Amino acid sequence: MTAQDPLVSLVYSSSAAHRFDDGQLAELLTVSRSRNSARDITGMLLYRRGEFVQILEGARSDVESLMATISRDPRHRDIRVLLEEPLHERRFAEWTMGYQSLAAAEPTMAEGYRDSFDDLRMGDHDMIGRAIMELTLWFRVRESAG
Amino acid sequence: MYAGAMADPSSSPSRPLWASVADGFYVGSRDGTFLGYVDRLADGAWRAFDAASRAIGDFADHHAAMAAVTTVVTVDGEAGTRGRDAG
Repeated sequence: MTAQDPLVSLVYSSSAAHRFDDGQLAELLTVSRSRNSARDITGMLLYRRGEFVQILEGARSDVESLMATISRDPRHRDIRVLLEEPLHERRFAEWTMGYQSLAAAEPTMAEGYRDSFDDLRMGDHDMIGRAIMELTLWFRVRESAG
Repeated sequence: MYAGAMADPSSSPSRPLWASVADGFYVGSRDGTFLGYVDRLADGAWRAFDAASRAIGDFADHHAAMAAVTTVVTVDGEAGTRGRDAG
């Protein structure tokens, strides 16, 4: 990382062009991890009901290059960059692309609460920041549980 | 006039905000400050965790677990108010 090419975090959302089954997700992750390792990119991928949210961390030029590649990937639709910000240190240094399938709460259990995944995809800047914190915490708790 | 009408809203603590992150997992914050989280265990009980991710008790439902998170008081780095265990 250099002053001209600083460490950044980029968050984007997209819709899957078609529903991914477990095998297709595994293939996506294998390719993603290999590509990210070569570029020293780390991050987290979440998938819920045909919607992706991915956090990418790395040198800005590498992250933006990868984002351009993803934008051309026909498996993604409606790609939106939600946030790009400088990072002091990586939040997902251990993962070339950590992954968790996100099961939403039952409607009766979700009523009256914010929905982190929706806030991340559709919220304002403050909501996105809070939702990233919430999802990152959940991801780490689930990862540590093995 | 009810008593609350005399209160200065700027001096009142904001209500905690709880977010449903995933099935069986809620995260609490207040004014952008992380309060803790509650997580459903395999046996259906709810475990509450403080802002340092320390377990503060197991509860029969998520409302009780959330209440434990929002009322926990930290004194010298130790949890001052412990949640009651679910019966």
